[in-house]
Amino acid sequence: MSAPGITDSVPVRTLRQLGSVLLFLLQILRQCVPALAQPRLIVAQIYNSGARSVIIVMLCGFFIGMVLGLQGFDLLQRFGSEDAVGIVAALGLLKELGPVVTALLFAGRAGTALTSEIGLMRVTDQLTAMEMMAVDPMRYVVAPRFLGGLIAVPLLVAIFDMVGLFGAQLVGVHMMGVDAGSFWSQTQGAVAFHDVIEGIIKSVVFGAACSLIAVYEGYNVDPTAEGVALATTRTVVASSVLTLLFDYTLTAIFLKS
Amino acid sequence: MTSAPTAGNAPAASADDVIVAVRDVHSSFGRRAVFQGLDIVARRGRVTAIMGPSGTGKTTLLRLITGQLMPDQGSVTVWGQDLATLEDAEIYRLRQRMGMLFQNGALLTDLDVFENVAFPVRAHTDLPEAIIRDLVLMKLQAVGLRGAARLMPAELSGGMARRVALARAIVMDPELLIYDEPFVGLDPISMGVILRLIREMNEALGITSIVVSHDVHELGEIADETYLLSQGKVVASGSPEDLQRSNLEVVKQFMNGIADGPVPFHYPAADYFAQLLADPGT
Amino acid sequence: MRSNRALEIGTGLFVLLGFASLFFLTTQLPGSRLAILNKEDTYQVTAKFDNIGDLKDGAPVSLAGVRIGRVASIGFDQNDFKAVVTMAIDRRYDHIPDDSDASIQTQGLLGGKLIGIGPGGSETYLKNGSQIDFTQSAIVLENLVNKFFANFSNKGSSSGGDAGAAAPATPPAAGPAPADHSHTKEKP
Repeated sequence: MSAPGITDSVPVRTLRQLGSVLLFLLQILRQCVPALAQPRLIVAQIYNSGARSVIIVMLCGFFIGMVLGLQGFDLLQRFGSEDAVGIVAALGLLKELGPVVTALLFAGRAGTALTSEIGLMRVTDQLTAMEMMAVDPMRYVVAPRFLGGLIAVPLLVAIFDMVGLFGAQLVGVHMMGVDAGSFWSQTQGAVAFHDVIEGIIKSVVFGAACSLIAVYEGYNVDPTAEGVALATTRTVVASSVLTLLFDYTLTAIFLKS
Repeated sequence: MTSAPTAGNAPAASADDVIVAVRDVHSSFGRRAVFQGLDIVARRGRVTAIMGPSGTGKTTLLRLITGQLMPDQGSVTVWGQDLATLEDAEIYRLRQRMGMLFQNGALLTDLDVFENVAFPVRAHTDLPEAIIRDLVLMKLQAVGLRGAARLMPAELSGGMARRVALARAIVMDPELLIYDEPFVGLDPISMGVILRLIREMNEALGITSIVVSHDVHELGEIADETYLLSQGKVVASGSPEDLQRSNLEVVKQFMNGIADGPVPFHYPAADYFAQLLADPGT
Repeated sequence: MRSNRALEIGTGLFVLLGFASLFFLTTQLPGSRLAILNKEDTYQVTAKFDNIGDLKDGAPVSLAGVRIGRVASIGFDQNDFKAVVTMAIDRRYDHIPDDSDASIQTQGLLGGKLIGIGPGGSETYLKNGSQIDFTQSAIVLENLVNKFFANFSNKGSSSGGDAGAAAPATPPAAGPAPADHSHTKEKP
């Protein structure tokens, strides 16, 4: 790894970063198929990134669902359409809040864990030791973690959406008195299949982006203790910004077509 | 600085005895020149020691030998092959014939001792589980840690971690073993253990060893051939006794641990009295 | 490997939960508009309107506030330039007088359009292929506003104060409009 030239200007450095990340992604993708030969590694990573994030995802999903229920009810009440509160919650969750918030939560909880884990392996020479043993760390360490995150995020989003809907229903039906049947029939009437698909596509894209950033930062960390700390911060920031950027892009694309 | 004459102990070696040859290597990191014409040769079956003050780029040298870094000038030849001409896959194949012991062991923290030692075997072979088990236990026995097979790296002391790392380094029966600062931070007993193991590995397995260290006394006990680096070049080479007898100032300072000499005590600074007498704030 | 069993169980549960959620979200949530009504359970009735507003396929058809069917399709008659709405009505409701009227109403203020049936008094009933003759178009907000200002400028010259009060003749929030059989009479 060559150090960035001290004389590179900001635009050049950004371009270099971007190129570096993309090349890294290519390397990972090349190792993804061989990595699938080690299902145990991938399962372990799905556990680390996904199963261990379920609690926080469910908690946040629940609260956000309830808030959507409250705000939606309040808003719709002004127009006499309270029983449409399910629509507000469902569409809001499926299309936007589910994928985006889950991605941000993932970046904060699992992304930082990935970055510091890989970063620590770099600092303690474990990655170098692997290279010395003629074992490609991309195949054994990076690719399984990337795949683990990629698989985990859409599942987490689905769980988030479900719990959110439940929370919205709790508020709308049991607290605000909207008729349960009306709540669900309105919701079912308003949610189309493509809304769900849009949410799934977003979750896959966000999952890929956040996982990629997390493993990239960890792998290329400056091999000191503070290097790892800085890298985890960068992971969260970059993941958040990229998620929102992709969110806008995808939303615009979906609305055009 | 030129090399001191080598002693006559070593028999005249033929070219196939040379396992690793570093010839006139120049390497720099950023603007700092690390090596400026380095020449080192490691011969088959012998322990070659590489010493030098801190910061002389010993780690860089190891990276050059293992193919992780390419020299700016000069060549690094391992088993007769110039590393710069090899592709990644070929370098990987070469590395399978090497074993490396890292300064801090570099054990994989999420695997236990047994799995750590088994790691290279599982990665490169399809051996059945029973054979892997026997292989790992045998190597652990060689380093005296067969009973610790199920401990986690976090539960090991520094010395034990290093021994496990050694077991891992030899599990694939390499022809070349590289030790990066194996004595750092060990208590006298552990140090004795490592010394014994290095010597045994070398004699029992007939392998070539390269030890990078600055422990003059320890290296004196095991090295066949010693190189002393300073300012990016070899300033002295030969058997440990040769270096002890050397008249070169640089060598004497290092071998005897003298605080001030060719490697100065004082970091470059302005004139002392001038600075004291000058106005505060300068 | 440590706690291998716990890890595998945990992961399995997670993946199961995730896929179950995905399954629910993709199959149960999106509306099959009217999950209960299949084609065989309904009979088709048409009605023509001058203006259907933003009435959509699948919009509810209700009578006395009860949903009895849905809009099956919307077409256009090129001869008299009217919108032709085909409704699928639940077979259970087979006693709807054939002189009933159909008007396009709004659910709440933000809601979509629906068709409200006002029962007539005839002894013969709507059946498959019938057409409802009495219809009332959607209330389009722009027309309403124009009307308001037209009234305003008419009355405003004579009495400055009460023009505002007289203006909005028809309320924008549409409840079931009083069935006015003389309003629009269409020949089938």
